[in-house]
Amino acid sequence: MKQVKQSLVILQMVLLGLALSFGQGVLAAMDGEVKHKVVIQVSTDDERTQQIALNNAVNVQKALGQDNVAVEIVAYGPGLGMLTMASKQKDRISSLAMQDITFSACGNTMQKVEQKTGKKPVLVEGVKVVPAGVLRIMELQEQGYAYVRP
Amino acid sequence: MNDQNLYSDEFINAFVDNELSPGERAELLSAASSSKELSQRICQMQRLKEMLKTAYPEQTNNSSSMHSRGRTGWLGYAAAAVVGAFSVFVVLQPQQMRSIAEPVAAIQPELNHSVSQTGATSRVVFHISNDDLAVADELFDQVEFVLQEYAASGRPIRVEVVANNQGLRLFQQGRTLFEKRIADLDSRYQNITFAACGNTMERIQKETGETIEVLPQAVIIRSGISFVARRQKQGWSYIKV
Repeated sequence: MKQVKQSLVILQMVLLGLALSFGQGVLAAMDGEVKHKVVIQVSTDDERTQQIALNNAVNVQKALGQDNVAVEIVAYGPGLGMLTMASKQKDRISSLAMQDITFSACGNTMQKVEQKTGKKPVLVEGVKVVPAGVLRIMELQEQGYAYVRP
Repeated sequence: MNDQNLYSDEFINAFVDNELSPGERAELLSAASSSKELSQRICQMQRLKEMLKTAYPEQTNNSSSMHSRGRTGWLGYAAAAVVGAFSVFVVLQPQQMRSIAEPVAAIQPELNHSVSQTGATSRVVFHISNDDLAVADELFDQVEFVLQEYAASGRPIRVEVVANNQGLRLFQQGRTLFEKRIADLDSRYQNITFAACGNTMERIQKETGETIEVLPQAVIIRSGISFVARRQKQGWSYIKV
């Protein structure tokens, strides 16, 4: 009987240990606390630069592992075009958006485009809108994101 | 895991708040002396604390952002405790479990308090190195937008615009097309600074023989590049246009 009790205590401790490490891991992930964070700025309509920005995002994710890095691409000004249905990269972008790469389109720029052309730009699926690209980039850097501008 | 990861934010926090035992202090100090990253983390924590003090002079004890730093840790412990209690539940009789579950419940309300809210001044440096008209136009729009946005919501911000290489032309008297715009921004906002790269001025003068004078609103700094690098090290946000 005593032995049973003892092994029960040991089992209990092992379970507790497991639970401890498990609980912390899950919560760290839930809180969005990844080890690395990077924001990539796209503010030009140069297609080569836009392509490089996407390559950068993919390569960073490959190098560090999808779960270890948060990658956000913020497009504004002439760079907004990359995230619209008119973009040559639209298929690549909707695919990358499903692989944990965040795409943020500048709401200010969208408004400006609409005023100019009379048409609201249509974004690629998976792209989200932020009020202002520049503010978003500032905010992310304040949260510890590294800044990359290809 | 390298050595700097051995020390949690909470631990460094406690150091900054002078809450460690002399032995722990000595240990952290000696570890910091051999690890640049660790000493940087300590400095950052210290600076955060200073900034909070400046932002909330009347309530220096309330270091809300410190709490937010340690939030993950707390959540982690609490969740581990919850899951731990659950695993205990699997093994123990419900009756025995009670005494363990109660302290966990006592921790729960604590969690809701730790909402991050730093009132520190935001700081951003814009950097331009070409004189493309459309780019410059966009730059001034952004600068103005950021200043407006922060003013409207009552949040403090400092903005600097650094120009080097051909970007210097934007601040050059008799050459820039933005003289009025710069003067206007400068007169409306106290928290904006225009800085011209002195190295670039010297180089252009040497290369072309022309004398360059910058607008009265612009200050001349020695090197634009090392200036923006220093700003980033100091924790400023950086935007290259």
